[in-house]
Amino acid sequence: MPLRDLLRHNALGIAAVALSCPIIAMGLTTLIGYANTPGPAGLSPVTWPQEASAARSHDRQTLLLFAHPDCACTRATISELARIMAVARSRIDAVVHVVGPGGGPADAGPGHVWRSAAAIPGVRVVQDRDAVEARRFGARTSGQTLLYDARGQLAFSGGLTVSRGHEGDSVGREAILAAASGETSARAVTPVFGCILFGDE
Amino acid sequence: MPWTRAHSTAPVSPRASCLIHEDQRRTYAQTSRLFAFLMTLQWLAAIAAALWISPRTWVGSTSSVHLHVWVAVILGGTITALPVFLAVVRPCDTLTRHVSQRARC
Repeated sequence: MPLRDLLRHNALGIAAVALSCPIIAMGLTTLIGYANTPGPAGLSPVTWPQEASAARSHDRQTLLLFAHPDCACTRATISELARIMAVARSRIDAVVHVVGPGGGPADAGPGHVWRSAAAIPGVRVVQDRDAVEARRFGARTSGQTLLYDARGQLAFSGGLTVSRGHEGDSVGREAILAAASGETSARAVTPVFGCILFGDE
Repeated sequence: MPWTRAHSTAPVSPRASCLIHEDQRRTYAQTSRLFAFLMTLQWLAAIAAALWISPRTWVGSTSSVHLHVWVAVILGGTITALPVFLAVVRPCDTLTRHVSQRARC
């Protein structure tokens, strides 16, 4: 069939394909952009704040993870925390702060973040109802993880996933495991992917 | 794939040729309609999964519909609409089968 007849015969289909392609490209670009855009970064204290109500371990590293009770992206962060604790449970004292009024056992029922974090051996879960501790430790985005060494010095600050809701190898996990193993290196900082913990009110 | 007479050198009668082509077109149309149905089902399942896994995104105590839900509806709908549309208006065309195959990837 000559090209002209071929084009004429398939004109409707070709027009439909041509119309759809830009919309699909735009949608995929938006999706990829969203997945790889980190949340706002806070400024975490390099030394454990004296006024913190959270208890710090003096013989082990202390890991703090701040999580929104309903953030879907934080599921992956909790899974990464479980992997870290499976390897370094004896060297890390981990506390998950569920930030906000919902999602705790005293509310309508513990949310998915609370339940999955509480199920990890060696992890304590506490509620930070008014985001006091989150503000004190400079956590703005759900999934923000801080690791303080036994002397109270910040060894790691950032997220445990490479993009929103994506599990797998990450700089954050490697940095925490390295610090927990006693490897001395520069303080690692990674972007955090998740919901915003509290508004500007 | 066009019908061939690989195992026979006997000439095909015009009536037989007509029946073969009619059967071929019927198969194409049925397959296109089946995939149109499956694509629609897949789209609805994607929306249900987005609503189940990540229905809302949060800023403190305020929330809005999660981007995944919009993407499932709009992007999934666009990807689904093209092969379904072609399966309805051009069920026997080669282009329809190519588009349907690419949309399933």
